[in-house]
Amino acid sequence: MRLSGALESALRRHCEEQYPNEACGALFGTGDGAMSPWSVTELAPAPNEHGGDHKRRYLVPPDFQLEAEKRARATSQDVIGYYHSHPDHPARPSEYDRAHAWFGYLYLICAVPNGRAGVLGAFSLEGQGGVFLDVEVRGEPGQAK
Amino acid sequence: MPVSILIPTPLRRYVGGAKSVQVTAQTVEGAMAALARESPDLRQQLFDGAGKVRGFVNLYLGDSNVRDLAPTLDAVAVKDGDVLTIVPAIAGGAPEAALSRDEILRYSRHLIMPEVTLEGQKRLKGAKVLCIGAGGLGSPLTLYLAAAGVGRLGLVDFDTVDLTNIQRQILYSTSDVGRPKLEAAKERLTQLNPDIEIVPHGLHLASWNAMDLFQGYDIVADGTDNFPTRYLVNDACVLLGKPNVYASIFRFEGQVSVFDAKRGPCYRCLFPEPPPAGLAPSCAEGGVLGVLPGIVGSFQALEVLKLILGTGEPLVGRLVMFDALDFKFRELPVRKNPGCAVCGRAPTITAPVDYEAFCQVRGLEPAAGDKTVPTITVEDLHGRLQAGESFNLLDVREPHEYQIVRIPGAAQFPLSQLPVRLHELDSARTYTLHCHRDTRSLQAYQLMRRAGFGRLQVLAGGVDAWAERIDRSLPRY
Repeated sequence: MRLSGALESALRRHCEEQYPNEACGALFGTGDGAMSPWSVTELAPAPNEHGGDHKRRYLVPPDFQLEAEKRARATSQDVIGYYHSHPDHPARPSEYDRAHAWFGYLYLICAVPNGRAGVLGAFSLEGQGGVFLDVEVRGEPGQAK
Repeated sequence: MPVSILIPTPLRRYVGGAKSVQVTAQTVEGAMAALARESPDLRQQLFDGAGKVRGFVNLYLGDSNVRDLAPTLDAVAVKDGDVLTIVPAIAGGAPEAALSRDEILRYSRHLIMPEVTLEGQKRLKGAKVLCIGAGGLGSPLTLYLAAAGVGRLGLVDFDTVDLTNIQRQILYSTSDVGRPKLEAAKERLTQLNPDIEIVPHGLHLASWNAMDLFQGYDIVADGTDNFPTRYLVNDACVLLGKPNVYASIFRFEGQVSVFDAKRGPCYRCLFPEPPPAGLAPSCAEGGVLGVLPGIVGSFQALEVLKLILGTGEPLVGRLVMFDALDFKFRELPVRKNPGCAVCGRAPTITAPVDYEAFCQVRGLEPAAGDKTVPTITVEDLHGRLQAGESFNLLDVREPHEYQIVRIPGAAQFPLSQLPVRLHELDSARTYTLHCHRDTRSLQAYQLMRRAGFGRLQVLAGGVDAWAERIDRSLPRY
């Protein structure tokens, strides 16, 4: 998975701005994580429209997703996944994340301990049981499971 | 009708990697059924056992969510060239606080209450509460919040434990005297509940650090005894949209309220301006019955827990006053002030301000017309007494304080009697005023200045400074 320093900074900034609430947004890019590696080319911060506690839940509004899909088509990209933050929690997918994940999407999770963006993890759902696997970030080894 | 269905990335694997699929149908339901025929796996992703589109899948016909168009898919007709977009719901979030076996046992008296339950206890574990002040109110507050399982408790204080604290600050033991309060508090609270996180903030809360500090917490509980901090906590909470569970105590009376500007008044709606300096004595000046902060701080803990659990009626828009001597509660409605400087319609305060100046608590405040209050140090007074100089020393404390400790030769003129006893004094003479520390001697100074006394000075630090620095055999209180 490739993510430029500038995009990573923008993602981190968004996650810090939303602290103590969860930030979320769409990842545009190319690749499918299988035949060709993912490459993030653009990201779009989304409003968090979860009906519950925004400190530990997020929901990307479907209308936002529709616009993101339109933009992806217009710019010859795909919506390759989504990112969100874990305020004061590690950058690991929660059981709730797993239950709501889709095969084939890239998921980036940014830990935000005490309002400062920390570890950024990359994951995708694999296998029959739907297990999150680490995705290598910029050629560096992912965190051990 | 031929329509195209746009396939999002995760579902393309079921249609041979295609970004869109062309189908022929009359309705949205027909189009989706045609798509489902392409792949049984895709059918499973999109439809439930009864053949309904799953709740976490949104379908858009053009720019309209099909759910908004009609209650069922077969009622939505499609026409030639329509575009259907499949939008999979994207949700998730940080892990929920889970309870261990031991925690379930520990909180069992909570868990069996329908107002708390396992869900509520998890909320408590996930909650972050900042307690300002680890003193009389902060003691029962933090002890009960820790015992109740509030997951993260922040404590702000920069004092050390003093022997005069122990009479009411039950967070500390006699052996803690001299230790930093936060060090002793963390030790005690961790012993009480090792499953929670105690975060000490050993700092002086100020306009430049309050916003950053509060950011990391859900609820702020103000248990301070001074006006600059009280206004600062209020303003920062309003600006950040956080509830401020407020309590204060004095002698035999306590006050509690919840200031949550999102749905009610703030502290400034109730008190737009602080009282003039010196008019509001602190516990150190006025005293407090030891058990009172225990009661009022427990009320404060109760309101914090209710806010976290979202149960009951919080004290929003109500100020409860408790008179311990008469054992009476009074409830005062507090209305949101549309003209409030911080939470009103056109706020003038948009960032924390310099509260020390706002509240005029810079210590010795000169009377109107005076540039400074003339003071004398205890060392100077002592030296000149030793040299044989004579002073007219007026002790303006109350008689029961005079019984605890006094400076030799001081005449008793309690502040409360001073206005009616001024005629006993000679305005042409020089008087040196003192109280316990400074507050009342300053009030006496201003009163006498207005009455025409021109030659006055205040003993800086009062009898307490005398006992601390001149005669160490004297008791301090």
